[in-house]
Amino acid sequence: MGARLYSDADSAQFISISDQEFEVDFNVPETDLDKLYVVDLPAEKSETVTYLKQASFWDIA
Amino acid sequence: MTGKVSQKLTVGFETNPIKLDQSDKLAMVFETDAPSALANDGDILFQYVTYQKKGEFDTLPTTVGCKTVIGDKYNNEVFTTQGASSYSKDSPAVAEKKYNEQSADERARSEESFKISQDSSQYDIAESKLDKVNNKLAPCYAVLDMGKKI
Repeated sequence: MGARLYSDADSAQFISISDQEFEVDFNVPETDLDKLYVVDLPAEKSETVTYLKQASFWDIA
Repeated sequence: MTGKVSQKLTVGFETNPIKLDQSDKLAMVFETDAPSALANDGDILFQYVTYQKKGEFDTLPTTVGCKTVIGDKYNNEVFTTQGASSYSKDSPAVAEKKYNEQSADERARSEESFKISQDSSQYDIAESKLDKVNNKLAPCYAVLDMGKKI
């Protein structure tokens, strides 16, 4: 990972302002709604399950 | 010249479990915090990361390079390469090359390439977190449409 500065688009000379290596753990988030939300419904309504009453988003950036 | 410099990379998934027809995305936000005397308006800032899954030696490393122009939030590019060439400052693939010529023969296919955002605010110079008086923070956003739900 690093960063460089060039004075313009035609320049092949640069200033390196960072240059480093490291190791990270990167995990895929859980997106299975059955695991994310617990729904308690009477047995007679079990065929219609509303997971979300309000829109929820994950913006991870 | 003296001053403080920091670089940060945030990586995450953008996912919407409700909209089943909307594919998920992998996004990267680069942030370089550097002295204004070093990063002048008009300078090109090229931020990059090279990654490879641990122990997966049969897959070539991927590099995502995010280019911005200091002070111009509308002038951005994102490059994706897949190859063995190093992006370190002394690498033959980098030394004596323009920012857009680095590892030019290792460009990834379009569907595997990160793209820029149409939201120019993702590239706008922001207030420094290190030194509000003497530094500026230059962000760059790159996003990959995964073409599927994760």
